[in-house]
Amino acid sequence: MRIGYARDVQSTPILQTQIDMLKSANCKKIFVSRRALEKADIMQTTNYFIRQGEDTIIVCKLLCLDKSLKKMIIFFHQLDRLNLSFESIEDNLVIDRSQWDIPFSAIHLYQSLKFEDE
Amino acid sequence: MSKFIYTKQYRQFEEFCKACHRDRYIGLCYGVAGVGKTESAKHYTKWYQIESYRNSNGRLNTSVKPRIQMSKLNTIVYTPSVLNPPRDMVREIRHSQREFSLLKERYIYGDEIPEHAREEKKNFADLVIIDEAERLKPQGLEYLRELYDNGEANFIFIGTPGIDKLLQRFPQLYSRIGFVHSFKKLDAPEVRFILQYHLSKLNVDIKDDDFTDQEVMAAIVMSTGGNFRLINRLIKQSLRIMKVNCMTTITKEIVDAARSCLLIGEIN
Repeated sequence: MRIGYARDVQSTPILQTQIDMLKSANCKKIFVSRRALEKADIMQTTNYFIRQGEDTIIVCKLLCLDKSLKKMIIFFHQLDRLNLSFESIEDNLVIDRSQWDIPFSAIHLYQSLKFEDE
Repeated sequence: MSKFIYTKQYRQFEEFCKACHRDRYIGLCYGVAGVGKTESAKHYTKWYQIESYRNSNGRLNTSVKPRIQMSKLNTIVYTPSVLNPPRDMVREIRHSQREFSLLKERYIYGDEIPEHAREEKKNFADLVIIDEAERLKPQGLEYLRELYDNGEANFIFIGTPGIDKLLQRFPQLYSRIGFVHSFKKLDAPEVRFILQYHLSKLNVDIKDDDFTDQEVMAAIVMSTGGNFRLINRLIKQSLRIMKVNCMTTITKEIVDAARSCLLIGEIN
């Protein structure tokens, strides 16, 4: 099932626009986090609904996930563990559930390069 | 020897679990160590088969349809840790129930779980068998009573004799116990039947008209007193002695030698 996630934060399209984009991306279920609920992250909001090895999580922009890179990597690891796919519409990013090793290798490479610079 | 052997006690335990589930009573099951309480509980819940779906990260793999016949399964087994605080115990029980429910959901709906089933968040693990219930602390028992009163789960406590006395100290929980099942040792005819039937599978034939074989049977029955764990150990030890001495038939002397090797247990 395609599950959309919209979040009302600055520097992302306004909430209604996000919902429209997710609907046009064939999301059967859309979860919305408003500013007041900002502490609840995407996994906390969608946890009861997602099913291992079956779903695709879709956001309009990566910024809808979190501003912190660390939290985003943790989120990707959770998706990998649950065997889920991920899509970000505006970033043209599609990660299939079987291809999580590619972004993780890239992140690992980035970290090692940074370490060499230091 | 890993195959489960159906005994009278197991049949009674099975009926007891069904009654607890049907009538929504808390059940209490006790028996001395080694009579097969835990194995019966695990067999009743097909726990070993369910555990085979556990990943290396410790979670149940609920992405594939299980091959276990799960339509009548509604029970999980939980063994409290000695060190865990009661709050963690409740969290672990809920987590275990959730994992079981997801697995059963996958069994029912197959590859695609419909939206209504996801929204429903149905709990398929109505009955929780708590093994080693002596480890539960007073606060833990109160938590469990709360879960029972909220309708989240129904419980069966498994422990050693004396657990009923322990629970008597908590009158509110004790009053909710509807069924008690005492797990007894195997009686002599049942031990004889099991030995006759199962030793033949280990290429050790027991004949009715052979005095040596009957003597062996009598020695095993007398030594173990119908305790499953002791029977298992004694036979394994006997087979080992037979192998070491290149013998093909089991005798009373071998059983006696095996018996003297056993350090633990309540050998008479």
